Amino acid sequence: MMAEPTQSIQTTEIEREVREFVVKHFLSGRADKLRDDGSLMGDVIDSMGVLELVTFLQDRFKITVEDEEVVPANLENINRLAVFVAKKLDAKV
Amino acid sequence: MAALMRISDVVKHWAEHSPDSPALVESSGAWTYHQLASAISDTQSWLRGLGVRPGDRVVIVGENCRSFIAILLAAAALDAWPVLVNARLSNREIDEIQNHCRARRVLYTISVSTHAADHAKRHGAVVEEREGLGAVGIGPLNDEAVPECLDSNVVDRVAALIYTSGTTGLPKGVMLSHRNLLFMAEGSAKVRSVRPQDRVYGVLPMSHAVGLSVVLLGSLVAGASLYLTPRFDPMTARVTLEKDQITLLLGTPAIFNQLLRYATLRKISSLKFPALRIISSSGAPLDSATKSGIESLFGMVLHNGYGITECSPTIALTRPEAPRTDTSIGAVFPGVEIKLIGSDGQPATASEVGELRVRGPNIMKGYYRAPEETAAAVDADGWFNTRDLARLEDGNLFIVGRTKDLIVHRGFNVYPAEVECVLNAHPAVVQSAVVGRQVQGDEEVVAFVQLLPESQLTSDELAEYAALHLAQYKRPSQIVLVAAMPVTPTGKIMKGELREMAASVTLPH
Repeated sequence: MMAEPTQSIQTTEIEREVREFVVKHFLSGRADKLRDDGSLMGDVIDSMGVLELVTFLQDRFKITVEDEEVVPANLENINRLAVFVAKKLDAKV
Repeated sequence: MAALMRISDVVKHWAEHSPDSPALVESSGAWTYHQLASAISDTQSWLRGLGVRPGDRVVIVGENCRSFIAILLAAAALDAWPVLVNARLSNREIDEIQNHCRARRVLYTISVSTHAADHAKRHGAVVEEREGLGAVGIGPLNDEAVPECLDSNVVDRVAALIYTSGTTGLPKGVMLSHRNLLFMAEGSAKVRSVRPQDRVYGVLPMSHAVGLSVVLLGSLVAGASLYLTPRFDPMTARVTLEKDQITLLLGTPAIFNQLLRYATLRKISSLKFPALRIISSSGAPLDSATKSGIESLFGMVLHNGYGITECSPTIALTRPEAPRTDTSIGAVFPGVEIKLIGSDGQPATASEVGELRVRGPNIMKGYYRAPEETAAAVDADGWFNTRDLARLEDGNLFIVGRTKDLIVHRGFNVYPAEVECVLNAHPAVVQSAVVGRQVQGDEEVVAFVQLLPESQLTSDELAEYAALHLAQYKRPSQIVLVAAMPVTPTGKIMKGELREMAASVTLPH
């Protein structure tokens, strides 16, 4: 039961950092352009943007993201992305 | 194989002789040749039930997926005219096409395209879950649509109507016949020795000429399997090339540049796919850095080709048996004639640059409802004027420039007049001029804009406005606000000077 809050805090922190990166790099600093659901699909980032985002995640969180893992289930929105990164970090421990 | 009369016939032979071979494969499922033939047949009945008659225009808005293909081939089998529309076009562009062609029905294949779903919603289409086709948006019946007369010769009937943005900013509908497309499909498959064992990566949009004739029909006519993807992404591409043992990858310089960037970011120096036998680029000029970079990464030759929608589209391509080390577009497509005309109107002599003219079974029937534009493009002897400048060396063509202002961004044609038209419509804009800027493997759209003196409009705000009215690939990479345009004494904007300015200013990061 104790692990849950830790996971939640960690995910929230990851979410904050990812949000900051996306807004800065893909939305010209305009946080209001990000949809409420934090969706990254459609016009927010293109395929090369996804690649840059993955590179950022690898460098920032010291994780390895395989090409096979770059699927909507993991990257559809910022929340899913944060959960995915958190799982990767947990797996490292 | 029996003579093919319609593009939908490409499936028949394989449906009979190898019914269980995979024809179309996508992440959500696959169709064998038998299933594809059944889907086309079922869709024909469905279209009839929707009031579609021979000679009617049926607009299909979507991205690469099985339902897009089933509807397109079913419409063609019915002698209706499929009007192929990339769902990524803006509202304005799609509305212009729909109005110009006076469509009987507009259908939206929305299973893989949120863009198509948005357009369907906007047009009040009824979304129906069709067995096999997935979710399809059905626009209302246009009672006022009048069917076009059919050519007595089946192969000369219109098999597809593809709109390209005209130099005047208005879209032109290129009428491609069954003969045009079958000639291109069979010739492309032959040149590349495509066989039933081949697995082709289907990333180029089927709503555009090369995706339709070379990739889609060129694969099906040879009995190969086509792996559909609605949009390119290097990571998915890498996985698919490896796992599905793709044998042919046809892309654009922009796609190959994305692969190079992917390799750099992923710190990969070698991407080897043992099954892959041909990689080829078309849709925009291939620069030597992209060609050599990809050849080094893949350890194989990157072929090159050149074409224009009006020519179905291929005019020349390098041959697998005669790879080039330079960026020549290769030899003329088999069965196609060319000539180069100098600025004096006379045929160019050997190695001299001339305007490229093309004649053959690949030349379009004409522009829909635009006889004057057709006459300006194709002369009485059947020669189509590409308005591109080329030279011929030992049977290989080199494109050296363009006689028109067309910008090719990410493999898509961008006509400055169309972008200028949108920018000029903004109340704060006095005038605008759009030019291309060469960057590695691509050409960017750069807009110079003069605002009303009192205007506080920023370039970002104007970019947001442009985004509402232009497909993503047509949106300027940079909007430069200028106090005044450089003009000639007669008031004509000096685009040459703007091109130089565009090359010297860089994007802020």
